[in-house]
Amino acid sequence: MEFAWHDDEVAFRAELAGFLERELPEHWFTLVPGEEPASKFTFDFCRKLGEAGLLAPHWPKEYGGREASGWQFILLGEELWRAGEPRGAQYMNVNWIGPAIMAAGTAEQKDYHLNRITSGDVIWCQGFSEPAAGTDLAALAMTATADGNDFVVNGTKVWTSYAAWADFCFLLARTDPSSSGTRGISIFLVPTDLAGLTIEPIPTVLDIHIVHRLTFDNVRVDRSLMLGTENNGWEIVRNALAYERIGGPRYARSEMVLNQLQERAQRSGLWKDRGIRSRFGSAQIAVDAARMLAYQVIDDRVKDRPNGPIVNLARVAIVRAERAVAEVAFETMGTDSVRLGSIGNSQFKTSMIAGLGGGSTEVQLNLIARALLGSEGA
Amino acid sequence: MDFDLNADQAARLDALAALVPPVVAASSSGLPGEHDESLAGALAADEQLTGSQVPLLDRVLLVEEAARLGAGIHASACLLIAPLADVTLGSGPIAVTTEGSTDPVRYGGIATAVACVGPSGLRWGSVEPSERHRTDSGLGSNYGVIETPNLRGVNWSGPIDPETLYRLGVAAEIAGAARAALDHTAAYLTERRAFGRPLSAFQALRHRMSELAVDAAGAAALVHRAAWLADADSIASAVAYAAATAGAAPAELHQICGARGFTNEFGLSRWTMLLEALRIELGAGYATAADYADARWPATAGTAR
Repeated sequence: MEFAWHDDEVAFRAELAGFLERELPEHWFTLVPGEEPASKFTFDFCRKLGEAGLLAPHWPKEYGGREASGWQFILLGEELWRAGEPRGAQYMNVNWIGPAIMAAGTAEQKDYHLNRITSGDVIWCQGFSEPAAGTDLAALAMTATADGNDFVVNGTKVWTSYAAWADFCFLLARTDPSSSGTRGISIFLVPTDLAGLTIEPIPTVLDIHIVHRLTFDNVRVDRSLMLGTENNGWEIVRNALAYERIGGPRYARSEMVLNQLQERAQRSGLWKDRGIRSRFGSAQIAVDAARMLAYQVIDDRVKDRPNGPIVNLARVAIVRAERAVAEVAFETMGTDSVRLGSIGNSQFKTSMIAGLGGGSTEVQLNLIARALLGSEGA
Repeated sequence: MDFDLNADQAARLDALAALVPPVVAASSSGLPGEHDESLAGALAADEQLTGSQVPLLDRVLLVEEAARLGAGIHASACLLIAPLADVTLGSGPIAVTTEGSTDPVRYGGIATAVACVGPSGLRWGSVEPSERHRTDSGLGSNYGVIETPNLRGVNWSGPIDPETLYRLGVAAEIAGAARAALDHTAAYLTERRAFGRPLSAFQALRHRMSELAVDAAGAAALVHRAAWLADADSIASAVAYAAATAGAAPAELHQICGARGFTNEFGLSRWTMLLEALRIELGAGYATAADYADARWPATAGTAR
């Protein structure tokens, strides 16, 4: 057991820091939580990241990466989330959509999609949740019915992030109508401009993050757009998402917000209050724990170990950190938090998303309990 | 960065486990702190475990493991502080006091040696029976007040002052005891049936156990990091997290186990009463968190970037 950063990791973080210093306007480092999923800036930034070999450094060389380690992957995530995530929606591409295509795609799919991702030119959304299948994703009912060389897709996806800007949807649909649960599901890499597909925003209280409804009305999808083999999509998704629990190291942004709040508390004189300092300390230990548990996940990953409960422990710790910082934001900023776009208002909403994005906290708790106590029926 | 034990660490933990007799769940008092003189003597004589060449992280891992195993010693005193004194404190119970305090301390009621830690250094000496006064606590750990006017010692010049090091040890004990308490409870929940099924089948209990598992894992991870980095900031973080963990776990685990959890024969109290003692030793949770904030953001804190 040792906790030193190795020379290549130190150099990588320095390279990243230098890049961000050059390419990121100052305001990104003091951004209140909020999202800029698909602005011209995020596209330009991702292209520059790609040119510098920093968009997907952990990918294999043949797909445009530089075979960076899992440690460099988490450092990349930390540095970018700490800077407000200037990749916008594209973080998802490099974290798991690209790797899923690498793992299960045809040569043609890899050629077509992976270059686009590493060039920073494309936005994806994930077509997972449905009105009656959210956390219980395996209950999904969207159908894709074979018809000649096409599949005809019908059904609705909801609460989908980034869909309004997305070029493609990573879509899960049931290709075996007699199936239930995790069997009989296939994945399609679907362009979002197909006839019969309607995308509309769903109003929510989460003004910092827009979600959408995707309605598929007899959308014809060419068979060549299927990822992997028919009816076997679940395994691909499960593997691809295994590390997404910590793929967006949200604790890094939480820490950035906490630092900003500390500066404000110091300027306002609030910092003299030991009670307030105690609240900051409590939030920071939540961030520290989240970081160390996420690092344990990476340690397993670089050693090619199967996923264990540490992934779920880390995810719960990350959510706790977001919420602890939101509490500090409210307590520090007082009535300023009623203003839309204020740091308190935004962090509160960010922390609400944290418990559901990347898998609901309750599912994480179920999986931890399974490791600790055996299955529910034991 | 590597979270696996290296060969030395694994060997040291194995050696410790071989020395510690199995915990007897049905102990007479159900409380922690029954001193095992043979274990203390074996530790003091074992260079592999308490020698000056043993890295801090390894020593802290041993403290954590000793607490988890329910070793009949004051783990932080025997494994972290006594070796610093560079003198043998014998195989009798060791108590640790803090500079300027006359409060009751663990093992103070039975100690034959004492180490006094503080920002200025470390002092130590033997304790005569007339110099120790038992304190009834109901928490175990043989609390007592020690009057030792003539201690020997030196001023400290190392990177971490002995009191800070001791607090890291207490945090490590919390990590070990929390793990043991959680495992003890988990084993019970899988055996005990109620309403026709095992308690472990109830989601109301499963989720709470999972939350405590996050606490225990976080406490251990922050203790390990602090022992490696050995700086005031990381240690304050580990101490604050451990204090919060020790503050939450006992009441929650007793609630989960039901009335049986209070009985001596059940054995949970061996861990929970130790956790209570340790959190009291670290000080109020709000204070440990505020101390961390002071270490993390000194008054001259710079910009967020």
